[in-house]
Amino acid sequence: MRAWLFNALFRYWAILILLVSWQALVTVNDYNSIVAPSPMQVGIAFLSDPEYFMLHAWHTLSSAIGGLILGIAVGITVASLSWATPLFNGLLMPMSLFFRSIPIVAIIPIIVRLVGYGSHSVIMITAILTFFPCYLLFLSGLESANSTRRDFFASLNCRPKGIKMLSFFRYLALPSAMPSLLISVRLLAPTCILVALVTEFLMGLQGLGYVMTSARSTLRMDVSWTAALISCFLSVGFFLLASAVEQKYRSRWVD
Amino acid sequence: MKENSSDSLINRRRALARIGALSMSMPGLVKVFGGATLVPGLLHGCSSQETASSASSQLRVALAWINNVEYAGLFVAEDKNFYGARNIKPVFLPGGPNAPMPSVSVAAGAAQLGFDNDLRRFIEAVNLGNDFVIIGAQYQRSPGGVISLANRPVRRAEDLLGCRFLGQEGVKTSVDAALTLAGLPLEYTYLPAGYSVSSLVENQGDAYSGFAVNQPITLEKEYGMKPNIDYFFTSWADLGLHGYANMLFCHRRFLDENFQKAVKFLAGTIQGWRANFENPGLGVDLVLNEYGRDLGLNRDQQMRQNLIQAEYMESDLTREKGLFWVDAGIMEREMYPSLRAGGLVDLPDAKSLVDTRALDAVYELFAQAA
Repeated sequence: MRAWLFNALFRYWAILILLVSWQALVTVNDYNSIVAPSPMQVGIAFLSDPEYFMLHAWHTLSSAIGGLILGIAVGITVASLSWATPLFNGLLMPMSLFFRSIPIVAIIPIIVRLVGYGSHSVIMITAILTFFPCYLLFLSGLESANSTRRDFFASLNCRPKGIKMLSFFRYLALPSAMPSLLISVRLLAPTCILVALVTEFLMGLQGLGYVMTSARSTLRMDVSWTAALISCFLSVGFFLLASAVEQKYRSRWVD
Repeated sequence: MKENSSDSLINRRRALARIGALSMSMPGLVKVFGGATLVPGLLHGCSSQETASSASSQLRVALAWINNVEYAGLFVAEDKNFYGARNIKPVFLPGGPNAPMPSVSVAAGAAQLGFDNDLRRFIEAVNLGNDFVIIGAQYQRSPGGVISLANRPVRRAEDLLGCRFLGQEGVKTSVDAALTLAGLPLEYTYLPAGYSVSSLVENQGDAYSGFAVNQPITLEKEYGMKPNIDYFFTSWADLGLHGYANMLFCHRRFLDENFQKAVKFLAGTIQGWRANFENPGLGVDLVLNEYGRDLGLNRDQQMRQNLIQAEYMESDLTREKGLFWVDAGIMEREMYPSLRAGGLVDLPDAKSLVDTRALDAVYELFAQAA
């Protein structure tokens, strides 16, 4: 038991110091909860209705994962089409850059107007904002097959262009792109949570972003901060999960 | 040599004044780092009178909205030196959708006075342990309400049933309260919206929460709509929800310890509003050219808003006693029922929320001057 406690302290001392400093700052300054709730108040807010927070956390997580999957699917498809035809690449790259350069807070009301309110709009916005990094990384992965293998495939008359293009794509380009795909999933894991949160904050009717804004309107900062803290845990957890998946499967496709 | 020493003294005083200002703007930080002993130590060498004088003139006021004509009276008061003549120098902290709420700024010590535009939220702040007190009210009734178009007008609570309501943060409770007060079920669809009325015009919803002094003017100026023909504005008060808005408040302790300061600010503010209504163009010019010059405001809209808001600042009470008057009895009788209907059951005694001593003192001063 003592060893377990020592181990936990050794690993998470920074979090402990953060919590203690936070509590000290609020206590010493005698901040009211509408200014800055203490970790104790945040904990009480969570424990007073954990189901409420879990339900909204699930909405955020499911929308973020749904958007990420859709974004990745679109990214892979568009990158594959771009790899296959330069004409398609010339058409899609500027469009992708255009979408990517619009600030998220500006794009959200436009998308909501087009597709309406609800979880599907959160999924769509998350997909739009996550597909571009995936598209870029996957495309560069498709083009990164090493020269020795290229030469070997060429000796079998299997080239990126020509009748055996599909075989080249399936047996060389696609496996070469898998490490890049895993990196993009790791990078996009926290981003998709953030995008879902911002969308819910601005236009949502449920989810942690909605909890933050609705609690703010009634000055329940303890509830708002609880939702923010859960969002942090979701982001970090999702990032760690994606990193673990990357570490586990990356070696399969790396020389 | 004498000049150099004088310069160095001025520079030193400036530096010390900055440190003093820093300690006022970040009381929490100074407290944490032992500022209570640090700052007086640094200020050693300044005359105590000078320090006291500069501290007494500083007054930070948190506004509930951006620097537009909603606060024209304050800007006119500053321009005409109504504050300076009373030896106070207010600093206005503009509000807005993403700015801290005035109650938060006052609770944090970032401002000494605040204007809160929502009575419900003000009471919630009090219920959460903030000993705030209202010392005056700019708007005797809220200019907030429901805007709808001719194809589906909302003029009574019954009209809200089944509608798609476009509202901003915190508005849902008002819709619920209006329906509850009318004894109707909460059957409508709430859709989050921003502060642009275009969402209503584009038929994303049937009703939109806005302000009589803002969006209706946009509908008229930009969309060529006519009131009560093309669009309808029904105030929350018409739907049974009464409440003061832009209430001037502070900590009770601040009022007790700085009563004269509060009186001076209130007197200057009321004078400023009187001067604004004598010459509405001045307030608009100050907003467009100085206080809100970066906000891209439209002159016609601001002028119209400045004229319209006058009626919201008047009531039987203000006609009898003067601008900014508040009354705990009115609050208890007329405003509390709608707050209860909105689900706020834990309401403090209205008398504990309102303190008219400063208003009494201000109008006594005005009477003596007259």
